[in-house]
This record gives sequence, C-alpha cells and structure tokens, in this order.
Amino acid sequence: MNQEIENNRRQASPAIKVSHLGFHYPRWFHRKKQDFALQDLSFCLEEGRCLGILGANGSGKSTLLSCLGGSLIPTGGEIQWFGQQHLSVEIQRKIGFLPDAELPFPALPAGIFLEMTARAIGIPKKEVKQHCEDLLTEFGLMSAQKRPHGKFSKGMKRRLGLSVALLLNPTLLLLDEPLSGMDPIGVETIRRRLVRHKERGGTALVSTHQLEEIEDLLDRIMILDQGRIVGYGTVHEVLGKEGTWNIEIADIDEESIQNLLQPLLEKGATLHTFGPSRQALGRFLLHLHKEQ
Amino acid sequence: MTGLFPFSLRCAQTLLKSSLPLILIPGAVLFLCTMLQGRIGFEGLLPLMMFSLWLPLPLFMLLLRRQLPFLGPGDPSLAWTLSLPVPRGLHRLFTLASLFGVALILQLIVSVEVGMGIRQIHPKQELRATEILSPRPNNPPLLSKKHPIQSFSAPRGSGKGILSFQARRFLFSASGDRVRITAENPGNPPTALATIRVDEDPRRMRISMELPPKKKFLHFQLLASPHGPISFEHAPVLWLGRPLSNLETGGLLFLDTLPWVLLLVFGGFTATSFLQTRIFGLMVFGLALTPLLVPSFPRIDLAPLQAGGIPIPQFGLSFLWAFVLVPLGLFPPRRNGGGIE
Repeated sequence: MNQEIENNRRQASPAIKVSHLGFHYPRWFHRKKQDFALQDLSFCLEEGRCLGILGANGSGKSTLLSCLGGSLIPTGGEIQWFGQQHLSVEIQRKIGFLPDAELPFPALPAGIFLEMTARAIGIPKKEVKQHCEDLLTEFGLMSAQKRPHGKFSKGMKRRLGLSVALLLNPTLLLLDEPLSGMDPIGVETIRRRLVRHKERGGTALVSTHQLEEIEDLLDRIMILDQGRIVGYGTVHEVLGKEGTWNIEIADIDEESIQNLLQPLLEKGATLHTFGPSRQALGRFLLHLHKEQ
Repeated sequence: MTGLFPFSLRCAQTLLKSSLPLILIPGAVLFLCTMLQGRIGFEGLLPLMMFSLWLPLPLFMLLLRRQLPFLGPGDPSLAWTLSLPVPRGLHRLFTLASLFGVALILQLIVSVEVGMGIRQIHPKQELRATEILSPRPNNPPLLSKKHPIQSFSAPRGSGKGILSFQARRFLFSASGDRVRITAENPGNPPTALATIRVDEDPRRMRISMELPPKKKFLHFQLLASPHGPISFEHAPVLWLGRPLSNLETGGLLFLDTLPWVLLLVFGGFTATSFLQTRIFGLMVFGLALTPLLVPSFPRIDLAPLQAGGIPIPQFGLSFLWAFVLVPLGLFPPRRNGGGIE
C-alpha cells in the first residue's frame, strides 16, 4: 500500500510550483528598511507531499502562504497551482487555506457561521448541516457550536478556521500556523486530519513553529530567513547538519538515564536539556480526554 | 450563487444591529432643540435638526469597516474572505446589496424622525409638501410698466395651498404695490387667482389660493406701483400644498436625500477596495459634505423648510448616475498588502 502511494507520488504532477517568487509591501505601508518580504523563492511541491515551512517571526512564512492562497499578489516571479497560473474559483475549490486572519461576524454562533460559509461556497443546502456537524465534531467544537465564535479561545478559533478550510475536502491544504494556541488535544486532532489527508493522497503546506508536533508527517521542510530559502530537504537532512539530536526514551528511571548519558558526555557532547519529556503532558491530557 | 443570500442577509443583520444606536441621534437633537426652543427661534433650530438628518449615515459608513472587516486593505478578515472559493465580484455585489438595503432603511427611519422633529419645533406644528416654482428663463429682473409680467412654472399639485415668498430680495418694494397672480394653461385664457398688496417683508406674505388642475404657468403681473419697479431677482416662490402626515414628511425628506445616500453608499463602498480604514473615514466625511461642496448637487434647500414645507424632490432620475459607481465597487480589494493609508 505504502509502496503504491510512493509510486504515485513519484509520478505526481506538482500541486504548487513557485518560480523566483518575490513580494514586497508597498513603501507607504511598510516604512522599515526591509522592503522585501519574499525574495527569489523557487520550489516545487508534488501532489501527495507535505511541506513544512519554518522560520523566525517576520521571515516571510505568512506572506508566502498568503501569496499561495491568493490573498496577496506577488510582485515578482510566478506561481502555478495544479499547472495553472491563474487562481480561478475552480482551483480555489481544491485549496483549503487557513490564513492568519480573524474570522468575521464574531457575534455569530460557531455552528451558524460554519453553515453560512458552507452555503456561500456552494455546498448544497441539504448537505450543509450534516457536513458542518461532522467537522465541528471532528474538531471538538460541537458542544460550543451555539456560542459566539468571537468569544472562543485562540485555539478554538483556529479549529473553527480549519473547519472552514476543510469544508470542500480540498486536495491542497495551506495552513498558516495551524497549531498556534492549540492544546495537545487540538494538536492531536490536526495531526490525525493531516495523516488522513496524506493517506488520501492530499498535499499540504504547513507553516509552524512547533516542528516537533508534526515533523513525522512532513516529507520536506523549508526554512525561511528574511524572505529567502536557507534550508530545504527532509528534517533529517536540514537539521542533522546542526549536529544536535533529540532522543525520547520511555520506561526508564532517572538514574539509569544518567548512566546512559555519561559515555556521551565523556566523548565531549554538550547536554542542552535533560528532564521528563514535555510531550508527556500532551499524552497525559489526551489520555484524560479519551477517558472522558 | 444562491448560497450568498444567507451571507448577504447576515451582513445586513450585522449592519442593522450596529446602526440601531444611530437612530437615537435625531431624538437627542430634538430633545436639545426643545430645551432651546424658548431662546432660539424656529429658523435657528432648523439647521440643528437638519444636522441630525445628515450625521447618522456617515457614521454608519464609518461603522462599515468594523462590522464587515473584509472589504478592503488592512481589514483583519480580508485574507479569510479572499480564501473563499467564491467569485469576488459576486461576493462584493451581495455585500453591497446588504449595505445599500440597510442604509436605505436607516435613512428612512432617520428622515421620519427628523420630519417629526421639525414639525415639533415648528410654530404651527404643521408641515406641507412644498414645491419651489422655477422662473422662466426670459423673466425680466424687474417688474415695471415696461415689463409688467414674470412667469413661473406652476406646481405639480393642485387644489388648496399657500403661496409663500422666501428670498429677501423677492418683491422688494415699499408697501402699496399691487400684483395680480394668474394661472395659465397655453391655449386657454388665464385664470385669476389672487391680487396681492406687496408687503415690506415678503417672507411674511402667505397667500392662500386654490389652484385649478392642468395649469402650466403662474404669472405675476404688476398692476400698480406708486414706488417704481419691483425687483424679482433670485426669487424662489414656494407652493405649500396639503398638510403632510409624519410618514409622508419622512418619505419626502428621504427622497430629498436619496442622491446623497446613493453617493455615500456606492462611493464609500468603492473606496473600501483601495483605502485603509483611517483614510476611508476621511473620504466618507468628504463625500458626506458633497452637497455643501458641489453647488449643483441635489440638496435640501433651507428656504422651504423655514416656511414650514418639505420640498418635493426636483431631481427626477438624474441621480441614477450614482449607479455607475456600482460596477467600480465590485472590483476586489487591492491585494498588494498595502492600500492607501
């Protein structure tokens, strides 16, 4: 099965092809010296692949995703979506874009907001209710569907935004910081959705600061700095060069692990962090959630 | 496409809800006028009431960017809206339709309130539909023995009404001059309506008369003038028709302001696609002042209001030019990450 998907991927055409992409904000808007938000970006994302975009704040991640999602028009270069240079409504229907933007109508209950959006984008009236309920259930918002979404927490707003992005079961996901403000349960929900998306042969482009949460899902990562690509490849290829490794060991007491580390320290390795795994908290909360 | 109807309705509902406090403005101004009524006369209070007719709509347009934060550059939900797979022009058209509908409802409510307010502060508490009779182009500037007749278009209404004169220079003469007023339908002999003795202050003159139907012109003919020629320059002659109900008053005020409403709504909406919020606010108030800044723009003349009349709109269909702005408003917002600020 996996081999079959891999073969399909090899033959797949690019979902997104970016050539020499450039973008700068207008001078009167962006008065600081750094005018260029993106400079000469070129990459190709084949269908069925998942690409992570990493970088510091202001490195151009959101600008890149906004260009790919059509909410910004590049000032240079070219973007092709599924081989088309024009982002038509038909192409947009294949794309689920979660921008880093507020949702309008904050006084509207989340369920009604989702249904209204579903109607607006052309989902048949008789399918809307069931479809929205499925998404709200999946993202854990069913119990909050009657609450105004403006009063949601940041993580809940992101989940609602994701529900909107997934309304049309898109084949290409463009997710700008989907894990931002998420609790471990939310992270796990998004992880599960991304896994399903990949299994269906979907493509995804995800910007995040929390690489460890989804790195196993990413085929490639791209690191941006000041609007340029400074690293591209698998997580192992890009971050392995740094010579810093992360090990998570389970079912062992503290004394034994210290004994295990001793030979490494004697070889001159530097220990940056040592302590219980932070991911254990997430698992603990997930366990609680499942029990409930 | 029909899926955009619920969206449009939701926009309308949001706008309507946010505009509700604005309908309190005329009430508040009326309260102020009532307090001042002993100290300031009707003519002084009238501009205050008219201000309350002007203010709510520009404020409503200012609220627009906050209530629908996806219309233009810099708006926090713009990226979200642009991510929706919906034809952008259609999306804006539906939004504009909801905006236009709510703006009309708001202006109608405000007009009715202001109409009631004007009636409240009017000394006789009675308002009438008013027409400003336009002078014929070949009228002589002076009534004299050589040019004894001036003609005006007759009012569209007929029956009982009051003829009133507003401008200071109209019928400027010493008392004692006599003028005969006749109505004429070309091809028929003129009908004598009244003979008046010209007062020193023509604004005090109110001539009750019954107009026959199907007349075309009213003639003012100098009969005798012991003091020489009478000036007729810049002479708005008002015909105050039948008394109006509150709804009719509001309806007429609403129609009077319709060209302005169209300009503000369509012009403002067009501006959203390229202006940042702050400069948009300035533009809205600039557009709102158009009747003052552009003399030829249809506007409500204070003269009939001072005579206790609500002017019947004279602009015909000429205001439809504002609909030219609609296709311009459908252009999607600038997507360069900026916008004029």
